[in-house]
Amino acid sequence: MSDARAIAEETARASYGRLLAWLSSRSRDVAAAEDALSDAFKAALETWPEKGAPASPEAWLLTAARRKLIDRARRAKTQHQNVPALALAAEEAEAAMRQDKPFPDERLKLLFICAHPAIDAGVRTPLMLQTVIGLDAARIASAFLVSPRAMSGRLVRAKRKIKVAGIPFDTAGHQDLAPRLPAVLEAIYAAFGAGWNEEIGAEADRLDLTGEAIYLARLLTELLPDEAEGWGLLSLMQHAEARKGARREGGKYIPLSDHNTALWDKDMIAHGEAALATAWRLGDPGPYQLEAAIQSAHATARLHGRDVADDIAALYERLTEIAPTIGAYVGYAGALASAGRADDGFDLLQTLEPARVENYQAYWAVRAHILNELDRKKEARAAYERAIGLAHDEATRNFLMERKNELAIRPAGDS
Amino acid sequence: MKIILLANVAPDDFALRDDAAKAGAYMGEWYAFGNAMREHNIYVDGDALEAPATATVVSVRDGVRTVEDGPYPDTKEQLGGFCVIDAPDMATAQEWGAKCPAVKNGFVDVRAVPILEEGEAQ
Amino acid sequence: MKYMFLLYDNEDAWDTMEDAKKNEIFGAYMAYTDALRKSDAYIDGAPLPHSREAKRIRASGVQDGPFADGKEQLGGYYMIEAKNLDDALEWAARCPCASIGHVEVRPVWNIGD
Repeated sequence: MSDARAIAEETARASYGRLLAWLSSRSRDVAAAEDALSDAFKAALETWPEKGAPASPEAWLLTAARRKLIDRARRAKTQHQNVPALALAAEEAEAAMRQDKPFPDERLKLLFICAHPAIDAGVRTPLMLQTVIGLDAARIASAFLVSPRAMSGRLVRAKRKIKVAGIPFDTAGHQDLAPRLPAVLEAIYAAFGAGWNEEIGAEADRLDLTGEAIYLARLLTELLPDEAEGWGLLSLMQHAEARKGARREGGKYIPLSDHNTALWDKDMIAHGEAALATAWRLGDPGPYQLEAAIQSAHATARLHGRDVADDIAALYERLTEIAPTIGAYVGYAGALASAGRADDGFDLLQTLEPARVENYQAYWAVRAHILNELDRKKEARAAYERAIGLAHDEATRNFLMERKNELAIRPAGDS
Repeated sequence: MKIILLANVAPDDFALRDDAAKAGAYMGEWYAFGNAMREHNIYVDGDALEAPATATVVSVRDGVRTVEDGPYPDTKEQLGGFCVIDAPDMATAQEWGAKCPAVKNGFVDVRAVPILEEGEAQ
Repeated sequence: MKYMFLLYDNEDAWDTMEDAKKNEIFGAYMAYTDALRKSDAYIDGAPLPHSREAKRIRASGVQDGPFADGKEQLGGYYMIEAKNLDDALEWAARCPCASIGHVEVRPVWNIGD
């Protein structure tokens, strides 16, 4: 898609999100607001890329949605429903637009309500994608490997719960938001992961949500510029996304150390670095920032030839202190091996509870690598076999098999 | 004695609430049940509950609060409403419980409600 | 908005509990109910006896309690008034049952909305 068309589509989605956030929060009925805007939004997506976005995109959408809004208000009256909240909300929107200011952006309320603890964790990310960006249920379903019907059902249920159970839209005091921010970040990161799980190298019409995830993270940093972890998440995703083009070559998995950096998106890396710098300046370290710093170090190593092994090990150590997940420990073990401390890495792996790692592919891959470093080839082979058995895709499987086979290229009599 | 009738509704019956064609007849059965109890002067109090998909579970352990969506097993009967009645004994309460529309595809739990004076413990 | 709190805990635990502990818990419930009343949140509420005293009526017949419903059983309820779900959840978290078992918060259905 050309830049101009892409910008027009992004404008349509942003205006839709802003208007939906406004109407939903005042009527407390997300589904009704979506329904009222759906035709107008569809028309915008069709015509704006051709003709360019209008000067006042929200006003355009509201005008185009007016008939549906009036119809809904009339229907509400005949059903003896109390306040036609949606119609009132629409009037308020018009009033807001008559002021000579940009339309208020209430998408923060939408992001937070999607990640409210009372909303089923599995539907938070889909809900964000549908309401804030206007993705359709079928497209979301495809990324999450469920049928469109099942995804639609979950989304309908979630929106109904918001209305019927009285989940509030208020994001009044910032202190109320802080404990709920991790859930929002996690939901945005899950959108990134959904796009990531799929076979790389497939055709362009394969669903990819990494762009949408980055959009949501960028939006969050605009709405909450003082939240360091928002910038950290954005940086982390930008670094990962920037390297996408080099991860496969003719279907083969290429490890980071072998990436052709000419295929990296240097602009996106620069954005990732800037986001990380902004995060650090806020002086509130957190797990996403640490993970972003690790990715930044990897990029620096490849692009500028610096030895970052000790830095990365130190960053992972901090990560395990503030976010002691299995992934963090396994990453730390790998980093220790890369820093010439394979023994320490192995000892760390040994502290992990077997039940928590037995089905974790990365654990076995790192373990195999470390055992190889320690010249324990037979055990390394067994670990590679475990990793191969747990591999998600062909390319990873083939790569691990190659590594395993390389172990055998030694004289017989090895341990 | 005060007795509570807890109507546990089958998932398919919950769906009838939103079925434009069948909701009228379904709700009609419930209104009839409620009216019958009122006419016999045994109805004290009662409410219908929104479907289980609107439920939220709260627990607190070691000072940490956990809030979760659910439960939502869409294969089991779930509480859909209740009423408190004033009946002379459990047997009478059971007779009334048997008339509840939930019994057809679900069940009704009949339980005595201890009467507490304000400030008194059971 | 009206919300029902369904109080779930292990009813068998009450059978073997020391009187001192029982009184402690009753005291906690009394204080909680009092707090609800003072905030104009309280509408109704009651503990329920052990389900062995209950009857379960199905189309196929009547069953005596207790029932194999799971590790926790319905042991009581509250009906409260709250501005929105967050306020209701605040109250639910303060309920002694939240710390012993769990509290299910369900909105009341206003038929005719």
